[in-house]
Amino acid sequence: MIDPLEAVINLARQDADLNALVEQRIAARHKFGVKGATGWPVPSAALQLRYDGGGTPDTYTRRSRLRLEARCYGESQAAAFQVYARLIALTRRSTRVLAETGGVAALIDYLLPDSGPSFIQDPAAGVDAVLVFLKTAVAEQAAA
Amino acid sequence: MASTEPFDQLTGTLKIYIAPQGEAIPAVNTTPAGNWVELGATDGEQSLEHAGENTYFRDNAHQGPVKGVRPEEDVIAHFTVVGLTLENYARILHQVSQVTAAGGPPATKKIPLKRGATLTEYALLLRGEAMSPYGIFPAMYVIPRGVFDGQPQPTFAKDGRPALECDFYVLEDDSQADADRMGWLIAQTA
Repeated sequence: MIDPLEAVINLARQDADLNALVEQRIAARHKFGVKGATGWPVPSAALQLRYDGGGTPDTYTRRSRLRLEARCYGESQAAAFQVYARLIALTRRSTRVLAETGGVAALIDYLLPDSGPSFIQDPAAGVDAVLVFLKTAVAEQAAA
Repeated sequence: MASTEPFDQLTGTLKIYIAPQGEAIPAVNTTPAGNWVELGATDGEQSLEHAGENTYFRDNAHQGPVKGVRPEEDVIAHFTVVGLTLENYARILHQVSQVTAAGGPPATKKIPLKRGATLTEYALLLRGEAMSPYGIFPAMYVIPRGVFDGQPQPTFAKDGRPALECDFYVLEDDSQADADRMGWLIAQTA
């Protein structure tokens, strides 16, 4: 079964503008405070995408319908909003798209905002962020 | 044939392209250009209605129907245009040649609200860039001849935006092959 979160993270990683903004810091768990080369500088632009626990399960077809939480980090609120804006641009497509996951292609039916933005300061990392929720549908079986 | 899952479960919206009736139909994998114009942003769901009720015949020898026919049928495209340039507005009301521009000052564009007795015939494409049920390929409904039906009613509000609800009514196009006279659906497969 396709990991839908991995598919959406890889979709975000495929976006050159977003990647340039966050310098490839896109993950399911932020790495602020992590020592070594894999750690993310505090503060810096980054994107964390993780399961929110919401979404309506598709009980009829092999499709994951999920709600995701996105934290768009930045050196300031303005910088965090730039990451948010680029993430929202990703959700503006009106057609399905493929994303690579573990050597196979995942079919993402849609990725849409499910809330408005909220400015927060991440309590653990102490970095400014825009919090927004997304909804997505990803096919469970490989598309190619 | 190989399974078409998951591509055969379609999701997404279509772009609406309009051209004068008789315009050449572009290939499915070609973005419409030239006299084909994208008819502005649309809001909400779009649909294609296959209308026409069947008539069933019975006889005294059977309890159930023994024959069915479809004496009339219609194809109607429904969508809502929110990109209200005067050019889009004019295409939906009558025709884009009704837009008159004046240099001013102030520079203006103007369209008459009277639609007139004669309906303008158009060709229409409803195209999805990844709407093929066989892969991430384009697909499109092609309507070679039709007219705008209905009574569009742009409504203005503090927290809303005016829109033109469109019902595009298909007319038979005798210049097409018999089966295609009321349009067709074409999808790229490879």
